[in-house]
Amino acid sequence: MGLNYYQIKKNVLQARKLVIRGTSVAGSGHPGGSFSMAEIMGCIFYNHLKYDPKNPEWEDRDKLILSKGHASPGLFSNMAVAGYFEESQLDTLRQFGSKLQGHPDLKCPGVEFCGGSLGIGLSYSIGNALAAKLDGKDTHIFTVMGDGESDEGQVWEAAMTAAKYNIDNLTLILDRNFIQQDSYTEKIMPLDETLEGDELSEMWRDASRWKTGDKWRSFGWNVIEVDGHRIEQISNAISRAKSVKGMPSIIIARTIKGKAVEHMEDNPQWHGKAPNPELVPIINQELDSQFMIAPSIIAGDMTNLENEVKHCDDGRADYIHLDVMDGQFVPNSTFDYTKIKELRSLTLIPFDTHLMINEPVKQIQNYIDAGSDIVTVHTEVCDESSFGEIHDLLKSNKVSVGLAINPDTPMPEWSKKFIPTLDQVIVMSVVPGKSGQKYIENTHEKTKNLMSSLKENNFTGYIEADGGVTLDNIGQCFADGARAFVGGSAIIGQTDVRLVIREFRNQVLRTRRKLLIQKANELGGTELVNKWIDLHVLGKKKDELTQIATELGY
Amino acid sequence: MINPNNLRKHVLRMVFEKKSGHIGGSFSLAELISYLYSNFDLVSNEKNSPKLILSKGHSVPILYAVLYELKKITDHELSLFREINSPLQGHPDKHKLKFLHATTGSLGQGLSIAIGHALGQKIQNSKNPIFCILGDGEMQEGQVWEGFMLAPKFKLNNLITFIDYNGAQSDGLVSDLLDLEPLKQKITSFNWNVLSISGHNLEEIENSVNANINNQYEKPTCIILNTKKGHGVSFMESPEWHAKVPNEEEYKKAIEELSC
Amino acid sequence: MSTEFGDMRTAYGKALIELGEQNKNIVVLGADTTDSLKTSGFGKQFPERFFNVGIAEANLVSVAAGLAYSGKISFASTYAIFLPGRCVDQIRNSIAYPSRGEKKGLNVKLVTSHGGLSVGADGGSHQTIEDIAIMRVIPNMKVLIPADAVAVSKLTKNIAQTYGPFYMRMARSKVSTVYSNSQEFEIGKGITLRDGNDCTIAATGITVKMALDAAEKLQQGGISCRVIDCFTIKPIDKDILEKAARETGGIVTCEEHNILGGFGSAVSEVVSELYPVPIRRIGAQDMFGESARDSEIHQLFEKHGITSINIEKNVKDIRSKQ
Repeated sequence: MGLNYYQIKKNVLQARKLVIRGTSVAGSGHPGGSFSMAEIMGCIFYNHLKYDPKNPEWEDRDKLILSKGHASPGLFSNMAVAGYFEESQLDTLRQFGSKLQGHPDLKCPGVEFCGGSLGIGLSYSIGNALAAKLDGKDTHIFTVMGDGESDEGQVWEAAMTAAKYNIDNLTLILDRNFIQQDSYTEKIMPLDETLEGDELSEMWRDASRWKTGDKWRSFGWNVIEVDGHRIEQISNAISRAKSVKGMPSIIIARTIKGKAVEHMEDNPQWHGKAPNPELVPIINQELDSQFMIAPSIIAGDMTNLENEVKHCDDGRADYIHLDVMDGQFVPNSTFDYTKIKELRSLTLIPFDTHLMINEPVKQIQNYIDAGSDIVTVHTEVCDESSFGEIHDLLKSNKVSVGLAINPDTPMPEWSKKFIPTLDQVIVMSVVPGKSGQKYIENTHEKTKNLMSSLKENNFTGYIEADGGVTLDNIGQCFADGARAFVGGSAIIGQTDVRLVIREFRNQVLRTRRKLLIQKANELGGTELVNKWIDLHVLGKKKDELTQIATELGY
Repeated sequence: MINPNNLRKHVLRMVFEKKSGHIGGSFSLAELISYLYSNFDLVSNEKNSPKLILSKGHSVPILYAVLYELKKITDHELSLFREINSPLQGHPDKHKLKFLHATTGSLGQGLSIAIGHALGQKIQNSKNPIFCILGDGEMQEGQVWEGFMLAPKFKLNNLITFIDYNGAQSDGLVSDLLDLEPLKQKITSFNWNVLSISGHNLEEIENSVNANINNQYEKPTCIILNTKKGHGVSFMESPEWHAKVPNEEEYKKAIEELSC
Repeated sequence: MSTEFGDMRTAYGKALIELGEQNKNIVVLGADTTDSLKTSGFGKQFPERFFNVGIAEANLVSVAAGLAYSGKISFASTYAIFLPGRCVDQIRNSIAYPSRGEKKGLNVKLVTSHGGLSVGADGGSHQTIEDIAIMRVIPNMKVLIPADAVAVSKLTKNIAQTYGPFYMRMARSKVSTVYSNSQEFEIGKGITLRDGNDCTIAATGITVKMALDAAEKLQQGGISCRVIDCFTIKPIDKDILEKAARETGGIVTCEEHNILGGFGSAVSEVVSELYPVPIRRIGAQDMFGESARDSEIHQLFEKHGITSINIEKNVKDIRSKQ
């Protein structure tokens, strides 16, 4: 199975919602560890694992072994999204008679390992890998293990054994979320270095203190370290791991427990606690509020785009927005697919290619081949037939599909049939053609209206705001419904790109927090607002939320 | 200083007389045991006295040998090795022989026990060291790595763990069965202070122990002893002498070599 | 009765090689005791299907489980103290528990040696007197204790053909031969080795020979004892035990295991429910073993009362109370 970037992202989102649904109905379960591995599971399920949900016992399937069995909701939710069973099955999680047991169980077709007792899964995976080799099968074993779990000696027995037998048909992914049941891993059983009274976040930032990789290397493993919430990094790491022969590979994925729900993030309390059903609609809205920052490199030094890409990489941008202009559709011209091809090898960050060219249908294959992850074309130069062709070509090449509209263009009537499968809609808030223009104010209204009409037509993609997005208006753009934000001179033109991107994110987060409080108030008045605020126990989040609530007059 | 070869002779006597016991792994420890018992009070067994945990319990003959050499056990007691109702059990039993500090035999448990002792010393504000001796084959047990992970957390600089790296285990060579290399890197990556020395050189043993007890980095120390199984008797320096019993001729020849 | 001796481990190793020739799905795993368990012969013949994982028993168990999940028949062996003794969690959760449909547990055969006190000189740390109790209470797990090398050989082949998790325990030392090569063994069915109506001696493992010796002696004194080899402890043969209770009025059980939770307990459970009669349990007296050279093992057994003389005494004791 292989899906495009946005589809994986959407499936990951859907799986997270199902985790919330399942655990809140069950009244118990482990959302924290399910969320830390959400992107990992997404990449395995929708980009690498070979399986057939209608025939779980298919002989030639790959095997996914969830060693950290307590994160079963994170497995079951993906199995539902992948089609093993109906999503409504999640409502039976942990109930008497359900095949969705508290920990994964062979009772549920498609589950390959009875997890729950930690430390066993890697040994068991090695057994499966050895059997596949004996049978001459190209079965690949994907094993997901927790970091607390690696306190277990059996893990190290297995680590030595895998090296002895040169097990290369197994990829181990360590969900390094730094939290185990009792507290932070570095306080309970340090895997990196003993915490010396300083903040965990300090250790996070200082790669020289990460010893986990050294351990695995010294045990004879090929070690790849990634940010475990970056789909592109995980997916690439899996491909690299699979290509290494003659030794076992581990991907150490640094993750955040409870990732994507602010009050659960990095909070040991949410290791094994279910969300309150009352708050589920607010949590779901929060999950729906994932957003992406996409710097546009043409705002920088056009003679050294390589360097701009590097800035984006260092700045941890979500996408790199590539404005392709042909001097015809717009007066300016920038670069074409040959440049994109050159830039591709410099970063793993998804390329968000925005074609401002005439007759895009003729060129689309070149942009696919150049390595675009998302390709957006303008409605003004397409019709139903040509866009149909573009749409199908992109989808079949695992590239996400976008449609862009200029400030004075509405969504055309012909686009309706494509809306359910569209991944992205770019709403231009400046007249395209050059960088540095001012945001056209009525785009806010336009975006809001568009969002509701898209929703009516079963749109599941993301709106990208493009043009004049700044720290001052990004919050409003988010409130309008946009989820991806192109930043031109406001980001790329700045000296510290990383800092600016962080400020952009903080600005969106402030708006998001406000919207969530409003949602709480709408659902349950002050009482629910207080409940919601009280969940945010870490750092200064609570103070900020209280202030927002006060400002809103709650 | 106790003569290591005297210990080897006592070991030979026990195993030869009783036709069972582990010579190879006892011989590889002779120098270490000589040094430790010559320099630390490992027989008084007070609450805060230094302790030695022999995790590779099958090498217990070397402990009986040193206790005999120090006249803590009698000639008669030595002759009871591995017999029924004997204080000299096939594997160390601290309830049957009061000079021992841990009951071991099931491999992989000694380091955890030693950590407990080391914590105990710290609680009593005692500076006395805790020594632990692991076998190399034993390093394949996961529990050993649980111990390696735990000791640095408590900054146990009073703990010195020796690995008897003689390269052989029951079924053959460690490197064939489940290789430990790169051993030094492995233990370093678990945040220990690690040294690798010759296990048959008394001076190196002495220097490395002295330099690292209660070290300033507040880290536990692991000393990898590069040893030879059966060391001391030329023809016993081979993996087959893990648990082999010498015949009369071999016995005499070995005693002769050790007396030179 | 024959006074020949046979080595259980050798019989096991030979049976594995025969199985390996017939069925390429047989895989054998060991943990640095493969020469001792005599599985290394299989390793020489089928190196690609032989896995020595080093001194790492927990890993041994779960690797065996993974192989079995992928369709192999895994035989994992080491000393009893290191399998049920060390790895009950791995055995329970990675072998016995995983079930799909009719397949209860995974197809792993845990075969150990050095069960019981007869380990001898290695001492109490290696003498396992708890394994039957531990394994018996794990659902889906079947438990066998063969009496001699013939039984080991036959049962090794038998369990290879029977789906599911098994625990089979062998003794370290050479044991008296009880069976002829033509004897058949059916899992769940005990074997009546000697008929009699005055009392029953139900035994397992190497104590079967003691039971036969005791019965012979008692016969000379005019007491006719029935002797049953209950090599199949789980599933236990309820019919044969109920019948024995009904027809002989009393049962003495023998095992090289703690009298708590082991074979004697299993017999007591069955008999007290189906046809209560007096029972006497012979076995380790809830205390650990200790070193004893081969020539002294009888003394160690005497200390716990695991002797044919004590069997006789107990039979007489039961009869005096009937």
